[in-house]
Amino acid sequence: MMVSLKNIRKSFGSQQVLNGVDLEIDVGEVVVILGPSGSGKTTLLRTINFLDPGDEGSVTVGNHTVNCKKHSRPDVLQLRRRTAMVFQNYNLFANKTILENVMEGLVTVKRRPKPVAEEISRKMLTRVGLSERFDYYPSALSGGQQQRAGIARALVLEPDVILFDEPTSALDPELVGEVLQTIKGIAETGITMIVVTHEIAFAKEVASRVIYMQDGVIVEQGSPSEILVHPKDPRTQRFLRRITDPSQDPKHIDMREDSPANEKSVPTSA
Amino acid sequence: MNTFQPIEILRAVPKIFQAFPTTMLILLASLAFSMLIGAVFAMMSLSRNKVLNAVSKGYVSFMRGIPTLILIFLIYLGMPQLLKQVGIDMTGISLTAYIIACLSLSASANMSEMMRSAYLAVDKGQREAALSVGMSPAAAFARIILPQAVGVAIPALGNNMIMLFKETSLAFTIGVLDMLGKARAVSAANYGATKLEIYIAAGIIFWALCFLMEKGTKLAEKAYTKGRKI
Repeated sequence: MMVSLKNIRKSFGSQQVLNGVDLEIDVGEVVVILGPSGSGKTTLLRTINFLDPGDEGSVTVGNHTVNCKKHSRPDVLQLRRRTAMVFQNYNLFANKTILENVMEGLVTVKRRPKPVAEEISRKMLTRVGLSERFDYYPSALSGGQQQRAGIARALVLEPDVILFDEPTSALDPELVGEVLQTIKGIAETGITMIVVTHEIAFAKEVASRVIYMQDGVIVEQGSPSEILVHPKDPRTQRFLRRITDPSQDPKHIDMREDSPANEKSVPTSA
Repeated sequence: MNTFQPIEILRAVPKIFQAFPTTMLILLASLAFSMLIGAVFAMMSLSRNKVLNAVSKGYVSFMRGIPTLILIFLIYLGMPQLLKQVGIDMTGISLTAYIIACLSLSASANMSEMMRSAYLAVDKGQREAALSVGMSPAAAFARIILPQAVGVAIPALGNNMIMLFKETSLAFTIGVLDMLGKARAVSAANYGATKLEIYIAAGIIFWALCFLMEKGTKLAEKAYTKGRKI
């Protein structure tokens, strides 16, 4: 077991965001989490590395378990050193070049000598197709290039698990492909990944397991075809219809309503 | 009988300039102390502790609202009297030290606000990214947030420095021989016959130095943020 979440609960003020989530993820799994906005999927991801600590429950990564209720700084640091995150808005360090961005964790966290860190980082950036951009600052790059640099920054740390938080949501449509291609390439190396995304086609192609979340709980999970092609739960069915049928304006569909108009057959392709 | 003699302006400049080191000492010391005090209050205002927030807010509001001259009188005239009651003798403290203390306190409010807003100007996501790669909060601050916040703060720091520099001229009110104090002394030495020329000279010196600081700020900003946005 690589990642294990037990009974994670979390609220922001009076708003209950996570309602007791249990999740076990094996080594090498690529788990894609889908769900409408506000379903708690991003928050769930952020409870794993304690950017948003859960109120209750426990998080295990590798053999390191941290109790959400009583966590110490060293505990959290340990968890964060076993995970890495790719952010929706890239969050590259604006005061550092792309190469320095990737080197930063190796030098300050893993205490690698600079020349070694630089060499590893150059290789990693080359792997994500940024060999011509080592000395550029993030502000000089396109969104797709920034996100690929963000992926390199996460990957270079050789984490037990990489957390992707809607990695393509902030990108211009024509740049989405290059980033998804990069993520797909990484998935094929066998590293454990958890990806929060809205890209159904990507989930179908890359995921080993798909999870559908709504209202702070996991509604159902299974193989991509089980969830995306033959979903059992009406909530999942409605969600898929909403995001795959362009004639339906998402704003006019109430996710909780069981009106006959929403009970059409489930589309089989994204 | 008092005729304006422009040549006296030129003659006064080097005399006034003799007090340049005193003014610079006051400026640099106040700058350093105000930034230290400002940093403490900025941290308090950014902390999650509501009491610290309130204390910092109150302090900044008070120090911004009180004219520096009143603060100088309060501390220079009032404090020794007060401390005498509890048996502390302040007579050994130099006038320059009083001025430095007053200007540091007065400027610390603006410094605190400058630091607070510079910190907030740096995108919070970068801090999260630093934490997510396993950096400690302190390392994230020192290596990612602070260097960018400094870049954001440079223009405001230049402004604060110019304001502080002009306020050093208040030192003469308690008898410190800074540049303005020196100007008054020079004027008094020839019975005020050339006081207009002398104050023009003092004004020109202050303006010229402010101009240099302004240019210096621009250069520093450019050099610091070279090649990147922040």
